[in-house]
Amino acid sequence: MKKKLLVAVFVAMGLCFLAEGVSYSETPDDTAEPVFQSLPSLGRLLVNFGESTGLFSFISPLTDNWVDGIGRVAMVIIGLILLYLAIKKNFEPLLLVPIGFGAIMTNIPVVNMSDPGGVLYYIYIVGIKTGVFPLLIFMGVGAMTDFGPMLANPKTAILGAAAQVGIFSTLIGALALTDFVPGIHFNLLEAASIGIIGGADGPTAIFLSSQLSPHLIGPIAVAAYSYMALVPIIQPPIVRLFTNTEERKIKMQQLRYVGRIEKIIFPLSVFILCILLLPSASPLIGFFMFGNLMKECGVVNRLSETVQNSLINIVTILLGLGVGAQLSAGQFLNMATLGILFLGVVAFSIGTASGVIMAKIMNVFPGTKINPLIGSAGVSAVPMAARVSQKMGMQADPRNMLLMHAMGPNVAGVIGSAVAAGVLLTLKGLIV
Amino acid sequence: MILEGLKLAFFGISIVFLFLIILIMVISLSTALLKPFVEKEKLKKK
Repeated sequence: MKKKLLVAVFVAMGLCFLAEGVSYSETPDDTAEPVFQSLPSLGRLLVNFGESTGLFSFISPLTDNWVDGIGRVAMVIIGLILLYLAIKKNFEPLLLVPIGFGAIMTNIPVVNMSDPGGVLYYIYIVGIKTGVFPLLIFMGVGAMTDFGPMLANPKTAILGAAAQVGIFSTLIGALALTDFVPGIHFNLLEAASIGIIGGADGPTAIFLSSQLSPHLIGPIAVAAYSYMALVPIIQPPIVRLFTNTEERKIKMQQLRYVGRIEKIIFPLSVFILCILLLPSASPLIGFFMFGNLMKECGVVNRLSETVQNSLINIVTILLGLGVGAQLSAGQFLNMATLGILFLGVVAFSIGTASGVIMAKIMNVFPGTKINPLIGSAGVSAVPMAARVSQKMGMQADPRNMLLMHAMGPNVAGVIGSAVAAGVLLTLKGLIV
Repeated sequence: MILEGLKLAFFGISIVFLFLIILIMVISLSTALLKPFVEKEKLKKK
């Protein structure tokens, strides 16, 4: 009985609120200070709440543009796919988890986290638009890189240069798409940013696109990291196409011992060379070599360990979120993205093929033979591409260990793609 | 536009090759100059 009475009282109170609203005071006029703000009726509150839900915004967006409604849903699904690839398939999880989550966050309606005032906006502006995060990552990569195999067999650096053909042929491809595919319009700066995907180097791709075409940073980063994760799938068929079993069986000579002093002098010489020949590449090369010098000099182990672990981890999280912030429906769901994803795989394929072909050309000349499999490692993607060379070498001959030999072109590829980025950066001041 | 791309591609890849070829020369030179030090280090390690 008591329960029924209580329920009846609450229902009566609710009806009163619905009918009259919560108005404890008179509505103040424009000039007077509000004494007490009134709330609308409970019914109105309910309607307002319903309109402020994500579900309502997805179904009935504020604008007529489809990307604000169903487009956001599509982007949330894309974010979830990236998370699935990272967690379930282990595709570049360190980057794809923050990028995927950032993509979901940036497409949340109502709050607009990547618009001015939102947290993702500031992460992007502070770390990516300025180019700071990719450079810090590059410093960490430098601190984790061993140039020993390249110093022991310097001519393999040529393979790292050859693989950069992928960058420049994709640049031409992007311009060709503009001419022949309706709905796709890339200018020279945008084509250069897309081409750098062929360098298979995430930080370089993000750095260059942040400088040349920031609006394309999302699709370019997603393409670069996705294809880097797919290196073990993309490369083998291309390598098989350009090599025969005999070539894949070529055994390479044992690498010589590389002294500590050589490893200390190397980053300094590369940096000086960069300053003298291509200062535009010095931010990338400089941070890369600074990281490497910290590792090799042996007197700043604390700094080197911080750069290799804590710093690179923190920056990776922020970089991933910042890149994810660029995956808004409006920026991502268009023909240009499809073009970028297509060109990305073309870039990787041409880069791989160029490295292999260059190794075969080098074998024509007298001297020690090079296994063409290590040519494919010229496309940066450290150490994934070198592992592919090792695996394919062992498939041809189980006693053929190519990993250390492949690390030479692999790290040379990182330098090569940074140099290519430096050349493309000069475009900014050249275009008339 | 494609012509501009071709020009840039030719220029760019030439610079990349030039840079890495000079780098190879620098490495070879430093290897030759530092050989006595490296040999000493190698002996010490043995």
